[in-house]
Amino acid sequence: MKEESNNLKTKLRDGYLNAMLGVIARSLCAMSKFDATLQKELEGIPDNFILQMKVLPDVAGMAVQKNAKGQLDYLGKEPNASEGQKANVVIAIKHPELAFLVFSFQENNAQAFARNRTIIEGDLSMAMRMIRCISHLEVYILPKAAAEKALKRYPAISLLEKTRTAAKIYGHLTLDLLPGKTT
Amino acid sequence: MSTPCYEFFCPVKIVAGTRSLEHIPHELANFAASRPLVITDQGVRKAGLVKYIEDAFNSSNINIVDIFDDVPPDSSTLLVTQIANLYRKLDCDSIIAIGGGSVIDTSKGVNILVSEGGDDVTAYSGVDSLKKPLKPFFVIPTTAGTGSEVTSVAVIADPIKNIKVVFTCSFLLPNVAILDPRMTQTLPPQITAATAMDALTHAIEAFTCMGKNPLSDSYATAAIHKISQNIINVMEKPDDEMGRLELAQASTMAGIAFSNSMVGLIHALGHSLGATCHIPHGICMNIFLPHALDYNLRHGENTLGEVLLPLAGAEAYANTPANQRPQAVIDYIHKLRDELHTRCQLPRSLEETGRVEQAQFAKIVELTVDDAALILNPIEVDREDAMTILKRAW
Repeated sequence: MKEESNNLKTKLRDGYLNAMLGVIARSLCAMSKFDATLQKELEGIPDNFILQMKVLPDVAGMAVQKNAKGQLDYLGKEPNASEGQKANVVIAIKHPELAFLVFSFQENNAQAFARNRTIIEGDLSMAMRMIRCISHLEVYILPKAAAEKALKRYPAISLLEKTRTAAKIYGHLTLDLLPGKTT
Repeated sequence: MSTPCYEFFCPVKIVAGTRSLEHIPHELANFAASRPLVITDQGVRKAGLVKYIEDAFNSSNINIVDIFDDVPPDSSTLLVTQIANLYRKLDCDSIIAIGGGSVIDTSKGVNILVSEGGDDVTAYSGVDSLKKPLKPFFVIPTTAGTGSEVTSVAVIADPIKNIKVVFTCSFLLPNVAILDPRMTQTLPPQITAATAMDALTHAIEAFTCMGKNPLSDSYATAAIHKISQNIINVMEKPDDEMGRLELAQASTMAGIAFSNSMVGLIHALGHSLGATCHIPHGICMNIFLPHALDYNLRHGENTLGEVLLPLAGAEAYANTPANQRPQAVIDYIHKLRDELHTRCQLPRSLEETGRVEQAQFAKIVELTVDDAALILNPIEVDREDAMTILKRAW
């Protein structure tokens, strides 16, 4: 009985992590289509650059790629090796329980790094840019209380601006998810 | 508050004190090594420091196989391959690095190639690319600042791709670090001061940034105390052997502290200034130290006040109200910088370096916000913040 309960808990946790990473990846792609701040950050990143985030051991993940238009495309849970895709930067969290601390906003990203729960592989300056992109996204897609926990500093933005940008993100996200769309 | 979860690792054997160099043959024998290759630079050779090591081997049953003494200040992956080929040709079985950051990082690269094989060290770049222990590796630092003798990182320029390649792996840590006061005794005053301020910055950032932990704190505070107690004495009396040893030990302790807690804003700014204007790292640290601490303090950093105890001593700490201690730390550092400027013209501002133009600020800002050291700075730093600090440091 206890084992079944643990299995269910583990499945729910892993499902939540996959859902969160999927939402972050797809929202990042959607935001990259219109947000000037994000686009400026992406200018400094080479075309075809791939960011992968994953929860070890292969519990959850996401990968996005910068295209020639300066926007991000969603690649799925991981880069497709058979198509020659290889991540330029990999941000990995060592264990699903540790990832749950981050994605349930009990620890912010910087705290996870400070506590050696996260590993970054690849070009660190590009990793910094992508982390800034994700932080910028979190300002708009998370409720203010959650964003304040997830970030070191919550910027001074109005509720109107937050709502308007979030609506745009979700609008683009919905369009992207329509049948026939690949990203 | 220290992070409630942390990792701490330092397996380097430290051999410190007078006549420590004479321990090297025995330490090599402990690793079943008998054919060491010495790697150093022309500055160390001309200062006569290699002679101390040669003398230490004279009365032992181990001979130095060869001495490569031409590592430049900005080493490269090509040089790493060249020295690795020399090591293989002479059938060496261990490496002794004598020098500062460039010599030590180059030697770490050589050790990768001679242990793992191949001719391209960049194949082993990144995090944790090495999966087994390397050849016996001894380090004798000739400056008291970088802490490279106890860090698991090497940064080596790739002249073909024109990038700096970073290697991070615990197997890069030396087996033995030897701190002999003779090796830093001839350091010129300005380099003595700059490297001491580098070590002080390592310790203060280790203590105030997000990766701080109880073990790194103990090394950091001990390092701060040793530096503040000895830096002016050594500037006054460069031949003070015990003072030199104290600074060397402080540098190593600060290295252990920051390699287990990481650094923050001061290093992000310093790396970027160094890369843009080719200013020595210790001078960059000296310039930014009080300004970055002030920025963090004004935006809510709350551990700086505790630095006053090791920095200024128990009496100053007790006589300063708790809410004034953080500012007292910054004031102390300003005074220390003024004193060092008087004694050896160590630049305190970007303008005093004579090598920085305000037109370069935009580039320095971009590099700063892309520097991974910012991740663990306790306070968020964006482009506007970095520009403000640069203007204050002008």
